[in-house]
Amino acid sequence: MATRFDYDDDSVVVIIGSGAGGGTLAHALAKKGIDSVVLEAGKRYQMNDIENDEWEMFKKISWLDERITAGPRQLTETFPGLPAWIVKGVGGSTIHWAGVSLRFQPHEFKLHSEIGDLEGANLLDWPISYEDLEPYYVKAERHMGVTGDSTGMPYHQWNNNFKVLAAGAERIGYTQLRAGPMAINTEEYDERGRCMQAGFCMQGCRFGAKWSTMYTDIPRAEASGHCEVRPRSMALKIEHDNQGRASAVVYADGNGNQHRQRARAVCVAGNSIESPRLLLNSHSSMFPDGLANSSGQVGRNYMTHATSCIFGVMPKPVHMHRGTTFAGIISDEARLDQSRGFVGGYTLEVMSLGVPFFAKFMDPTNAGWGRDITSALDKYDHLSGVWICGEDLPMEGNGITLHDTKKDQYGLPVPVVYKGDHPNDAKLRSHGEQQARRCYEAAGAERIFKVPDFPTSHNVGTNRMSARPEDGVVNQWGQTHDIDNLFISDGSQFTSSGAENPTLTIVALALRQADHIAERMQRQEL
Amino acid sequence: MTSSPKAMPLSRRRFLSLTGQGALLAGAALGAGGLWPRWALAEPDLAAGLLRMGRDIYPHDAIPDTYYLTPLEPLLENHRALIADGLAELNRRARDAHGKDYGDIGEEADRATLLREIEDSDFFQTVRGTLVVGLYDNPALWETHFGYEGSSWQQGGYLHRGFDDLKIDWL
Repeated sequence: MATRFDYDDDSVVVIIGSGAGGGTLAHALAKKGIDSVVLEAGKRYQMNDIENDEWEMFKKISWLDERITAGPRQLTETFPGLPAWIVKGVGGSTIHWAGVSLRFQPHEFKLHSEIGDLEGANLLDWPISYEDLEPYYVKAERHMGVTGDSTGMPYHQWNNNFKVLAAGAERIGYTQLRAGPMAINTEEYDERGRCMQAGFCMQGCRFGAKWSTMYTDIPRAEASGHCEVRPRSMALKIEHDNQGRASAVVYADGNGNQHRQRARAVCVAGNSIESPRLLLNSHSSMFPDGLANSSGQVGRNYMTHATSCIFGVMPKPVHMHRGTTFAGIISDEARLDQSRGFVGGYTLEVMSLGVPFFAKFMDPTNAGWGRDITSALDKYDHLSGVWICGEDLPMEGNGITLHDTKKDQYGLPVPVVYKGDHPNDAKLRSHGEQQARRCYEAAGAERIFKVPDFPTSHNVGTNRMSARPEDGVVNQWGQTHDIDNLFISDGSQFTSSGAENPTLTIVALALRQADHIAERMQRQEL
Repeated sequence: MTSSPKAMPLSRRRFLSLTGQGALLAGAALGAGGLWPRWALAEPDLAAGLLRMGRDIYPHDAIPDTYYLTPLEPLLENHRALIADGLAELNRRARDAHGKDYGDIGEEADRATLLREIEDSDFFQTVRGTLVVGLYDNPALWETHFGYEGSSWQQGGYLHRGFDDLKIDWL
């Protein structure tokens, strides 16, 4: 009963990736009657594959193909082969994401206009405004089931971890404290049940209460008859015709056999490392620097959020592992206020880890052992944690390049993921750490410590949107400036990182792009 | 039975007596007896050194030896040369500094100082990397030692089991 499209069927849109961008787009196109083939590098998982087990799920769903961490940052030492913590599977990183669904703030679409040039930063305004995206934020929130006004679903009850952070935050004068908005049901919504406060959001939601394309958009797109998802299908190269229009995608199936799927249009949504990598690997005599790269910006301006993580040991057991992983948000510092000594803002998001990951991540440097570590672990049930999600400025030198000699299992050059701080990032991070410490001090913490960066789950910016073709890779619709039937549909479109988790904005952009593609098809332009 | 920070030097004899007790405890904890690592008995000197090192890397005084030894066992089968050479080098440094083998140094701080000197080595990081998963990914320790309850979906999560039961009464 599953729809099958012929390899030579050039009426289909080929979508690469099935996560927040690709999965949403496939479903949105299917609802309009537009056929697509989704090439997903990872396997298909069932609900009963989802376990409440940190290491098991890490090994099962993570993207573990060879990558090289580079740049002046601790991650280069601590996780030399794992720059990013993202998913390889049908549903992509929407299996792993924590559900925090904040909109970008209006000024974050035009940071360059707000503050002017900043040395070392490749600042640029988005070619769209908050007002352009706002209707799609509402659609995305209804689509995903985000608690708050768009759905009418109440925010979550505050869990223990958030109660602790909030108690301190209120004492230092913060007022914007919310257990939402989250794309985690607090009541039955969209044929999915409510959150059971199981914890383990980042291992996949066993109850399906958290939105993921794995069990919403993908099966619905398939059921429509307008979408075929091909798991274990790694895109190797996008081909073009003599006119320079995208014509097909060559991919390797699970047995290593190569196929060529012809395409009416190609939408790339492989996350901010794989998407530019694919464009670069698709170089040809007509496009020697890679597809859609006349600006030279493909792979550049890689942003991850300026982050840090602070834990406090509280006087009594907190049991931070109970309930949603990112259970509460403090937005007081998200504003643009240069009097703090930096541009951009940050969100404070309460977070938890289980014992296995806390032990691994507390200090992954070579020196991270001994009584300093174990005395904190002995108080595991007294811990509360907060993660700082800060605006990370685009720098041209931060980005994805192809290794000269190392090849992966498909024979493709291994991606090198280079990232360093802009001085602004360091100032923002240090301010965030200080404020987080103040919160825990005010909450009566007996000990407060910092946990180094994890491999990043927020990867954006490497095919950025720009008004002018020379400044970026795609226009306001995610359509590449150079090739009119080639689109970018994931977070690599982001012109700036904002102080917010990226998924909601990725979904809003994908819904907007689906409308645009449908209109252009109707006008027979595509 | 557990080593305190100022435990007696871990001699071969003591190791064997510890493992005897440990085996009983492990049997009780796992509900099955006779699971003691065979290499630990076959090569007690290496096993004793590795155990001492594991306990110095992640010292939890209340956690019995068996929870350290069991995850370390495969190292001696799969990386025997690395471990044997690494321990020999550690003992050489210990004798230079203290006139005795690493495992015979009584003060934890002295042993930690020696380990700090080799913490960038493959040997040290292999032992540590093995233990950081093997020790902390053991469900038998989660609730009893750390107050971590592990998988929760089978019990319907924590919605009715205390996700918001904290009363902040210390401020």
